[in-house]
Formats: sequence, C-alpha cells, structure tokens
Amino acid sequence: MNLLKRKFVFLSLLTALTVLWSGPSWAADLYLRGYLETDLRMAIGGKKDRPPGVDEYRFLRNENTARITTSMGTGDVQAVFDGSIVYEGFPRATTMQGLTNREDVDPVRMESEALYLEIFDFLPSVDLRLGRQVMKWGSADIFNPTSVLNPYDLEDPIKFGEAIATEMATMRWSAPWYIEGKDEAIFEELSLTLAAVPIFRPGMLPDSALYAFTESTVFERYANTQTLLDLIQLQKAYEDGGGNILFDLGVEPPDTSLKNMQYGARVGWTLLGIDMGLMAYQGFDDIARAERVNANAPRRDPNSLSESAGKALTGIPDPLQDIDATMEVVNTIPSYEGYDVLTEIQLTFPRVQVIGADFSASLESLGGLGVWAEAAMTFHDALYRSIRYADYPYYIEREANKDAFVKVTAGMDYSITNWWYTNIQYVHGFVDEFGKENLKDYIVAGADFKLFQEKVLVRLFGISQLQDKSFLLFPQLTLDYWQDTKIALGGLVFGGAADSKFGGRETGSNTIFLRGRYSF
Amino acid sequence: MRFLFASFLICALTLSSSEANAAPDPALEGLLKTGAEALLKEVDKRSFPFETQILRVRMTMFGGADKGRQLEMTTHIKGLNKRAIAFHKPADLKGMRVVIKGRNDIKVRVPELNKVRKVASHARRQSFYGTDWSFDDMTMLQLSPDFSPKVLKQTEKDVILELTKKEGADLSYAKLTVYVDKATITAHKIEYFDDSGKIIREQVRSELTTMPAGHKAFKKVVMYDKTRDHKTIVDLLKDESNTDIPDSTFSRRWLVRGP
Repeated sequence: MNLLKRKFVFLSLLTALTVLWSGPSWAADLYLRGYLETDLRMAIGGKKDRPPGVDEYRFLRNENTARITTSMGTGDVQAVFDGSIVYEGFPRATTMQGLTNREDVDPVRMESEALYLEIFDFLPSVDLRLGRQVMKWGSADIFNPTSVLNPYDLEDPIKFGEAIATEMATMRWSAPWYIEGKDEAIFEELSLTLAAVPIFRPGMLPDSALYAFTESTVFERYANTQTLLDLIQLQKAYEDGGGNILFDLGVEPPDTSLKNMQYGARVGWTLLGIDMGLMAYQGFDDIARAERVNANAPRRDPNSLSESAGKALTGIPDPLQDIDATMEVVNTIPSYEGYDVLTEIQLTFPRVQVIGADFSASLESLGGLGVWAEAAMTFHDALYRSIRYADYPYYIEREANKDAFVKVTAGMDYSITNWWYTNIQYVHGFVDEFGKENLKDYIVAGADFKLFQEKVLVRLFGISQLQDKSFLLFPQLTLDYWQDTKIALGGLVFGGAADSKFGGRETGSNTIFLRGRYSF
Repeated sequence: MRFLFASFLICALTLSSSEANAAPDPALEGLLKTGAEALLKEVDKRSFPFETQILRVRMTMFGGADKGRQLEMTTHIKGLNKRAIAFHKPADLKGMRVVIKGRNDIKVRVPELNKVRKVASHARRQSFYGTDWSFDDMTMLQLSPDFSPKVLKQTEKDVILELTKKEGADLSYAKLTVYVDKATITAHKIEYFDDSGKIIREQVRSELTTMPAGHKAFKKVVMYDKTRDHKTIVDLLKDESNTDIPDSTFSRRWLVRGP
C-alpha cells in the first residue's frame, strides 16, 4: 500500500471517528461498531507432505487488525462502510533500499467488507443497494453452493467460508402482504432479489494453493486428462535428473466488457414455517483452471559459463504425440543439472450458469431439530485446453464436455443440553471442486460446549472426505471472561495420506493459533 | 439463540397497573369467583395492554465470574406475537438482530456472517449469553396457554397461584408459583420448579413506575438461578408505547438492512 493510500485510510477513519464524537443533532443516525484483533499463528509440523526447505516450526501469521463498521444517513438513505487496517507483522525488506521504506519494514494493508449506498423504498417495497457488498444466499452453514455472487476468500483457513465483497447493484422487493393462518402465517416473506455484478472478481487463495500448480506431485492430483499426466511424467524425469523446475503462472480474468457482466436472482418465501428459495446466476466460476500450458524444453541456465548457455535441449520427441518415445529419449540423458525447465501456465475462469434451491426448517416432532438443504446445478460449456511442448504445434484437448454438475449441502443441528450444541452436514462438492467427475463427498461435523457460565467455549469441529479418508480438525478454546473481550487458542490439524485432499501440502501446515479481540 | 429472552422481558417489564400496596383491584373479587384461570388470563392481559411498544433494556449479571457483565437491546413489539430485537451490548453482539413471530418462528441476522438464518426451536434449550434466563422463559410471553392455575393461598397483599404445565406444553418447567399483587393484578414474583419439584429459578419484579405514556411498568426485574448462585438484573431504560411500527419491521427485510 503506498503512502497515499495509507493516508487515505487513516483520514477515512479519523473522519468517521471525528464525526461520531462531535455529537451534532443528526448523530443519532450514525452507527459504529468494530474490533481490534491480534492474531498469532505458528506451524507445528507433523504434516506428511511438508514442502522441502521449509522449517517445520515457523510463524505463519502475526497480524494486528483494526476494523470499523459504520453507517450514516437519514430516513430512507444509508451509507455503509466496513473496513479494516491490517498490520501484517512480517517485514518485507530484503534490500538496503527496502530498509528505508516503511511499507517494506512495517507492511500494512487495507481490506473492505462493505462500502455501499442503500435506499429503502426506492420503489414501493423495493430497497436498492449500490456499491461494494457481500450478498450471501443459501440456508446451509459455511458451504453454500447457491451463494455465488461473491467469490470465496480462502486465503485464511481459519476464517473459512468468508466471502470477498464485490461491487454490485442489488435490488430487493419484499411483498408487503402475507397469508395469515390460525397460529402462524401460512405464506409470508416473499421476496425477489436481483443483482448485477459489472466486474468479475476471482476467489482469494492461500499461499499453499500455489503448490497445486508448482509441485508435480500435487499437480498430478489435479490433472484431469492423460495429456497433463504425460507432461507431469516428463517433468518428474527432468526433476529427478537434477533439472531446475520453474513455473510462470499467469491469470487471465474475463475482460470488462458488457458481455461478461454477471447477473443473479433469488426468490425466497416462507411456507408453513419452512424457509425456501430458488436462485439463478450467470457469470464465472471463481476458482481458476489451467487453460493454456506451455512446457518448454530444458534450457541451459542463461547465466552459465558453458557454451550452451541459454540454449534449449533439442531432439526430444513431442510428448503430446508419443510419450513413450519421449521418455525413451529423455531417460538416455544422464543428468539435467544446469538446465532450467520452465512451464508457463495460463489460468482462466470458466463461464457458468447456476440454478439452485434451498430450504430450512425446524422439526417440532423431533424436538425442534434444525434441518436444511441446499443444491446448485452448474452448467458449463465444453472446456478446452491448449498444450504445447517446446516449439511443437499446440495440442488442443477437451478437458470436459458441455455438461452440468450438482453440488449439495444438507445438514442438521441440535442442542442436546443448554451447554452442548451439535451440527452435522453432508457436502457433495467442496468449494474448490469443479466438474461432474471431480466432486467428492464430505462430512462436516462439530460441537460447541459452553462451560463455566458461558465464559469458556470449547469448539470441536472437523471435516472428513469420504473417498480418501483425509480429515481436518479444528479445535478451539475461547475465553470470554472480560466484557467485550475474547481470547481464543486453537489449532488446525490435517490428517491423511500425502496425496489426499487434506493431507496434501496445498492445504497448508498444521497450525496453532492465539487470537485476542476487543470489540466496541 | 440469545434473543428470545428479550421477548420475555417485554412481558416482565411492561405491566400496566394501578397503585402498588393499595386496596385490591375492584376486578379481583370477580375474577377469583370465576376461578384461577380467569385471574391468570387477566394477569396475561395486563402484561401487555398496548398495540405497539418499543423498549430498551439493560441486563447486568452477577455471580461466579460475572461481576457486572452487561447486555443491552432495543425491542420493537407489535401485538402479542411480533418482536424485533436489535442488540447494542455486548460489543460482539452489536448489529445482531432478531425477529420473532411465534415460538417456532425465529430468524436471526448475525452481521459477522452476513446472513439471515432461521433458528430451529431446539435453540430454546440454550441459555442466553450466560444470563439466568432460559429460552423457555423467553417464549413464555403469556402463562395461561401453557399452564393450568389453581389458587394456592392468599395473603394480605398477594394471591398466590400454582401453575401446572399443561399436557403437550413443550417447556422445561413442571410447575410455577406466581405471586399476583392484589392491587394491580400483576405478577411481581415467579418461582420455577423442575420435574422433581425443586425450585430452580426465581424472578422478582420491582420499582413499579408510571411511565411517560401514563401506564405503569416494573423498571427492574431480577432473575435468580438457584442452581448456580447467579443473578441477572434487568433495567428498563426506555419505554415508548403505541408508536407506529410498520409490519415490515418484523420481517427479513428489516433484518438485512444496514451494516
């Protein structure tokens, strides 16, 4: 963040606070809440698939955050700002020049969850919201396949399920009528929400997600065609021979033309106490896929002193035509030391159409058991991938036919006692999974134990993939002994084989964390 | 699930009445002749004599590790069934809103999740943010639908009713003892008993005050939890009656508004 931006951030906050404390007659229309949070995390090792050269015990995060949510306005107009300043805690200065730069020595960034203008009764019973916002749809917990307007923020595994605010225009009509029954309304809460998102925003990924494209063993699990698997086999041979494997990952989001605008609509209602909804969306999947792969032939390090510096190794047959012939030649070369093997990958976001439905209800015959289900069917065009090895012609492969797939989340929750809450969900299709062939099944389950007059919360949650039996455990102890203050100690523990969903290195390290938050 | 309790407070705090410690209400004799059921229904009726009401209350907790922890909220009320609650304290609940339209129709908006959720009725088993109010307390807006009363005894000041849970009533209390003030026909003390007949809670209402709108209300309610030696004091901070509250306040539309 440059100096100008930093100044803007602080000026914004100062302005907000000054206005709030100045106490004019219209101060009643101002609203403020927020928190100060400190978050320290450490990798604790123990994961089977740890990246080479990385310390087992290391600090992963050392952030201090100030977040402010404020709104102002009169009558039917409201302006909302929700933003955070995050001091990252890891100096980035690696040069002498960097040591003279405050942004490198003490990095800080700004995040914003909301920045919008809202007009109530813009039209009769219609509320209009313009600007940066999060529009969550669906009835399930965390895993909402129908919530597609905002991309997932997967950068922080502990805050899994959060969304990134997106600039959009939304309009919501709420029916001003209902059908009254004897004890409760038979039909009510009919609403229609329309949303238009001009500019596509991709999902935010954790650092460890890079392994999915830069580590051949991890990439292999995501390779969904034989051609990619052949290339990975070739890459492994170069790697085993001492070659220096390099990657150049490029991302190509949809351009900003009108045809790439995203649209969404949702109709919701309550019938006999059951909340229901139908939705539709046209836009893009927010998790990137590899659309173009250029695998270069091994090339001598350009800085080497040898005569062949910078020259590519020739005479290797095109692996996309005959991998066996290629491997035969490659295996005759005793060493690739001193060679760079560069693979260029271009990532894109597939265009999709989504329709979905959800419901939630309370089953009185089962003691008030809470139940919900949510399903979304995603339609996508045929997906093609261009692959080239060295200077051979491009090979175009069909990654997937024009098809559709369904993601489902269904769950229930129950309070066994006044201090013991449980929640279990079945999830078909994790947030990063795309395509009919790639959807797996998961059980997400957990419990909250509120102890010592709710001063202590023990939370035990976990996710397990049913196919590869890998799992994620998320135990947490939260102390709430002080007014407006919470201290949380917890961990994130992955289990499973090195090539499994949660055991793989792309999901990150086993972690312990200590967080403190003061809310105001 | 922390919100239901507020709806109960509406009943607890807002009680129209005549002067306390004065002569018995003229209607009392007739009600007693008709029977305990009629008296309990009158107590229910007097607990909320308005079309609409806006209340702001503060709860302060004492006992154990609690040395004055506070909650604060504003409740919009329309009729006997509709409640819309906005939390102001503690800070981590600020921005949370709840709409209640019956014991099994509860929706909550948790700002941190950016989402409105239907709350299943099992949540009534949960306590409310460490307070001494159970969710069953909160859903007991009126006592006569769930309990059968009989007159236990009379004192100079009170008619003491014993309330037994009706068959099919989904509540965790087997029995209540309600102290009805003869002068006001309002309940100023309630004792709660479990299935074994053991007293587990006691609610005491005090500071009957004439509000600006002309009606009277208890400005202080204390709930004692006998099982853990803990109490919650509820103070009435603001009371507006018969103000215009649109129906849309008790809907998902109100919940999703604002930050």
